[in-house]
Amino acid sequence: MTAPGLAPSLGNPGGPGASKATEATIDDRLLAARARSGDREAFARLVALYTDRLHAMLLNLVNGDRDLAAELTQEAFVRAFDRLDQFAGGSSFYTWLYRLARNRALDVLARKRPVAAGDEALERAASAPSPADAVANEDLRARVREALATLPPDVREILLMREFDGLDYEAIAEALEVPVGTVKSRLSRARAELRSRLEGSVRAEDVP
Amino acid sequence: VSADGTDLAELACSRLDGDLADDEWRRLLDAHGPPLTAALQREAAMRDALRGLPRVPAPAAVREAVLAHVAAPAVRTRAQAWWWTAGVLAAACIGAALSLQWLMPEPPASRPSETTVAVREHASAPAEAPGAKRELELPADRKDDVRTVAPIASESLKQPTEAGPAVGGDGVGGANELMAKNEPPTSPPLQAKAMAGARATAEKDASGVREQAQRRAPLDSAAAAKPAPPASAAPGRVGGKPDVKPDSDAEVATLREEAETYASGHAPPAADAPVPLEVRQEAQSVERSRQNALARKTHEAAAKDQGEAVASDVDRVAGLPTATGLAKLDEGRDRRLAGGETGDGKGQDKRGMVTSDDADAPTNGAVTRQLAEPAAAPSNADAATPAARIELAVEAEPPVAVLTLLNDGQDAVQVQARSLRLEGLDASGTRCWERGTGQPADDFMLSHGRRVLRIELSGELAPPTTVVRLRAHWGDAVSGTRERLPAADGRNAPAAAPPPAARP
Repeated sequence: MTAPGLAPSLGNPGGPGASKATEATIDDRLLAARARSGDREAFARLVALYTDRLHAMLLNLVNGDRDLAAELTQEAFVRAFDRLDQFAGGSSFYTWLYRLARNRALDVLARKRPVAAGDEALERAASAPSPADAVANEDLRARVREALATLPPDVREILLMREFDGLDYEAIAEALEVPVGTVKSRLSRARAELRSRLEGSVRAEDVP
Repeated sequence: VSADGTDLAELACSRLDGDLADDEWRRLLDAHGPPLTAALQREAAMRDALRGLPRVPAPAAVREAVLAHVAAPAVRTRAQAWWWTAGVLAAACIGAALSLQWLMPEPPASRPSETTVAVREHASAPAEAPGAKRELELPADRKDDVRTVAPIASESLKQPTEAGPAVGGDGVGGANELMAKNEPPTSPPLQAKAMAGARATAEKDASGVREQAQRRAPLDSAAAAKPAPPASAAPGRVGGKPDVKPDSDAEVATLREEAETYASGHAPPAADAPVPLEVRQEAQSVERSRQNALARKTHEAAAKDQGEAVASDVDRVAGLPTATGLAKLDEGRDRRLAGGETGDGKGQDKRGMVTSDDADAPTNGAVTRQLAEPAAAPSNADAATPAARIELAVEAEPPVAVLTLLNDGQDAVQVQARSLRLEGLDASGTRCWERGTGQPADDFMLSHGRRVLRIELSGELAPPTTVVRLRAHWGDAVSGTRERLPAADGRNAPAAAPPPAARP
């Protein structure tokens, strides 16, 4: 018996989200091909599709630094546009776009002091309207954000890619340019690391 | 972690990832109880917390900046293209300027001409390299040819009456070069024949030039009658005769007779031997050379350009007809073929030149005359022209002198009775008798072909007994001498005297 409400809707290859992801990937490739041939409207469509998603991912990766997230997002799209001829179409456009962004983000994070949990920007972002979390899991989310911010960037990244961005193992493997098995092992270690950071904070009674 | 060391969190993750089926999960629940359920809830809560992290939309400025960047490349590309084009043009201008500077030709004074370079290369070429240098020096067996033949044409133009062997013979390099290109004969008889042919051609040319000179500036009769030194005075004359300069008419007549007899195929009276094949071939070669010379003279008469005349001299020395002469020969050949006038015992080669297949043909007499009597060639006086000549044959029964008038030219020749005469020579070769022929009754025009006149030699017309040999004259053209009383076998008579042609 499956626990109600806990089955993941994204990242399951057999789930309904897979077909949507596949359709999105096909659309991505078509749009990228048109953009590569000089169709600026196609690239504008890609920008509209993935700007917010990439920005949100990068904002959590950089622990709520909005300016940096915006800068990284803009830079990723510019680089993608300038390097459209290098997009072979073997993967989804978003995976390729994220790969362009993460290298720059990890480089920046390696030189930047760790963002303390409860950063003002992240607090403000967390205060954004989220009807479900706002009521029941506000405290838990706060502790998860604090624990996540203390994780190394690569560990935080793979957790966010899997849980926050909903990428499957193959997409993560493409973005990180590692095998799928490596993704699974890294993800298992990242969860264990996060659990150890949440020890004592995440209790069974906190779960609604 | 359970009491038995099982990581309940891992089991919960596997369950949430879908790796554990319901039956397996139910068995694990029965085994571990509520701690596994609590672990599953904690793992799910953590994932929900991660999934519920704030999703802050990107600022509008980010999209605008990206879209601006997307729209900008066109302008940027145009600007880059402009700068690229400008750079390329500038580089091209600089390169062109440098190229022009480098490729600017040097002043003519410091730049050797192609001729100079060629001469330098020729001088610097190793002598042992095959074909590197074209030496003017010929093989020993060819030097005589060059010395004998080449200067004749050049000197005959300047000194018609003083033709002689030149020293060195390097003044006519072109002729030497042309001669050097010919393959030298390998056997002595062939060498002799080739030399004889070339010599006859050169002498014929010399006589033609002399005639032109006479036309331009007539000399007195004594000077005109003075014979030019025969080519036989040069080394290597036909028959291997020693160099002899005739001092008297008797010697001239004797030499002339000997050469005539030798080349015409008639055996000398003392030696009744068959005609050698080499002599027959030599006579044919001489005949061909004579025809070539005739064609060239026709061309030279028409040519007024001095440069063309010089080129003709080179061809003459090399024994080759000029282009104009060839054209005239072709024209004459066609005319003869059309008129059916080829039945004169002569063949025609590809160039239309008349060749003789029979050494006993009547033309041999004229050939011999050219060899032995270069100065007695028909002149333009009276009815005789350079193309006209006369041959004599004597028949014993009844005694008749057969005169054959031949016109090898394309133009008709007027034949006058007063221009024909017979003369007799005594045993010493001195002329002791002369009379007219009495024929033809009326003057006529002799077109290309021949006419035979039979002159009786009996009765009152018989020559005196002191006459042992006869000779015929047609203007300045002189036939060979014939025995007054021919041999019994009739060899002195023409082999096949054609019937008299109809008068035009």
